[in-house]
Amino acid sequence: MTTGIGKNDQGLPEDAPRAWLRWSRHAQNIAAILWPSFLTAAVATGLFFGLIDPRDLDIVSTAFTEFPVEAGYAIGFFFFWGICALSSLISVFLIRTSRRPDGTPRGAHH
Amino acid sequence: MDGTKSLYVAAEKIHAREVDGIFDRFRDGSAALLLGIYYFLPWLTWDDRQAVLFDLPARKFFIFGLTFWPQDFFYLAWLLIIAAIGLFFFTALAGRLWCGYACPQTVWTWAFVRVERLFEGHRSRRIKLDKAPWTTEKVLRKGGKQLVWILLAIWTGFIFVGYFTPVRELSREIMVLGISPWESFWILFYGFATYGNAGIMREQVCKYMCPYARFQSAMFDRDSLIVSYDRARGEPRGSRSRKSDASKILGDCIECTLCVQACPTGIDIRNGLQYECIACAACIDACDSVMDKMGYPRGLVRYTTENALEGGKVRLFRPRIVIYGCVLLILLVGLTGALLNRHELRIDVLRDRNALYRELPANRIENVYTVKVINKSERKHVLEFEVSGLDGLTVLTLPDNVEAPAGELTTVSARIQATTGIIPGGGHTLQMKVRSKNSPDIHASTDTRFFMPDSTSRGE
Repeated sequence: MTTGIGKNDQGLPEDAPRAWLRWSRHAQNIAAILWPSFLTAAVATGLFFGLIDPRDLDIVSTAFTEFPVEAGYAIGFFFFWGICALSSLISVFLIRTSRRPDGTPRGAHH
Repeated sequence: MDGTKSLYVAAEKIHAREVDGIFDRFRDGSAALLLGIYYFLPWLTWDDRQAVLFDLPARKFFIFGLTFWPQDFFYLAWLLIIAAIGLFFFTALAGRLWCGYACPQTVWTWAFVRVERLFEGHRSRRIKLDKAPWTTEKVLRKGGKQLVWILLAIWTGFIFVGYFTPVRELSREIMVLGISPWESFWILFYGFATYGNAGIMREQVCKYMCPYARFQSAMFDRDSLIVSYDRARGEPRGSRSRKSDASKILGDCIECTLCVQACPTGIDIRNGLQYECIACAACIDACDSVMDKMGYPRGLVRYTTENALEGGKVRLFRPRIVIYGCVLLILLVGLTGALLNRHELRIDVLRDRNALYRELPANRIENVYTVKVINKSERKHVLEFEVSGLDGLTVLTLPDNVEAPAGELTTVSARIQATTGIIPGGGHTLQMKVRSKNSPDIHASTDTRFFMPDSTSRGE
């Protein structure tokens, strides 16, 4: 049956010809924090600098006068990435530390 | 927590088996085409400038004959909507076509795997090489692969930056080691991301990092073409000799596991569709080659729909597809039309912030504006201004004859004058229009406010 579209997580049978490479929870957490925030930061950077010239920002024109304008875009991107990663980090933390509906702690020691 | 020490639980590498078949060749073609476009496009020239250049310091995007300004943001938004609807359309039609043939992750992984195959050989040789001790040959093969990977990654980063800094200028800067720190940073950053994503992580990105992989199943329905194993035909599976007549007791699946060996994400398609499946169709190619050898009909693993597998018909033209298709078509036609009829001029008017109006001799009242005109075209325009919406207005600009050079922003100081008595006191909306003297059919207009003194407040 193909009922498990997008949900099947049973992996390979025991006698599969090779082991299935799986990431640990730790690696999955890191990926879930860094990658979606990277993508959303790219969108945010495009939207923000589409509307605002970094040279028009007071902080850039006063504090970073010696920087080239490319630096404004780069700093903006990494700023957004950082902020978005912080949000992802908190989301992952909340999901990983909540209790399951049956009351058992999710994820941690067992 | 368990398993937090190591990033991998089962650390055995996936050695995907090479296959040859129609879908593999199709991917060869699409990957080569897309990579070709990516690496070649910055070197094209158009009207003495780079044909495709995203000039961030000047805040202008050049795409062949078109110049886009931040004010053209609307086109980008429109393009993104088209991309989203397109993804809906193709996913509903035939699942993860994007993942299998066009995603940058797939395309660059394809390139990196090609390099790996060049140095380390085919699947069985790679497995052997990985298990072998570190001989000179292994060092040379692995080292050569890494060297080409790194060079390819850096070249990819260089081309990426070449979309933002003119690529020929960039190469000259590299030749004389005069490259700016930010440019070198982005080359290395993009190169590192390419190396990590396409060389090391590959399909792990699709399995663990890609949001589309998780939600695309919501866009499927029972009539979407997806890569599926025909369980009714294949089961019960079992190995057999080629000559034996096993068809009475066994299904067509001979349990050769080639479909599993070919899978780059390491799943068994015979367990049903799983979100790890990126629809690369390598299992179809692998299975078809086996069916040919056995003399069985092709298509034990094939693109088919859930309905068809359960005895129904393949029904591609259904309301969902027709609606997505029509919306996509309308948006595409609209975008093309908008681009073809793009205004060459754009006008923005800012009122003088210091005073609502100025009183001049002879009962004249003046409002002062800063007018910004963008000439988006590739030719010079001589501008003239006119105002409408109120009677008896005259517009004066400084300088009198304004020239707007090609592709530049021109700022003009404009004064609009009126005589008291004709126009009532307070604020009024008027339209300011800019017109090209050299080609009068090219014009743009915008609304602004005009203020007259309130007669009562002046004590009359």
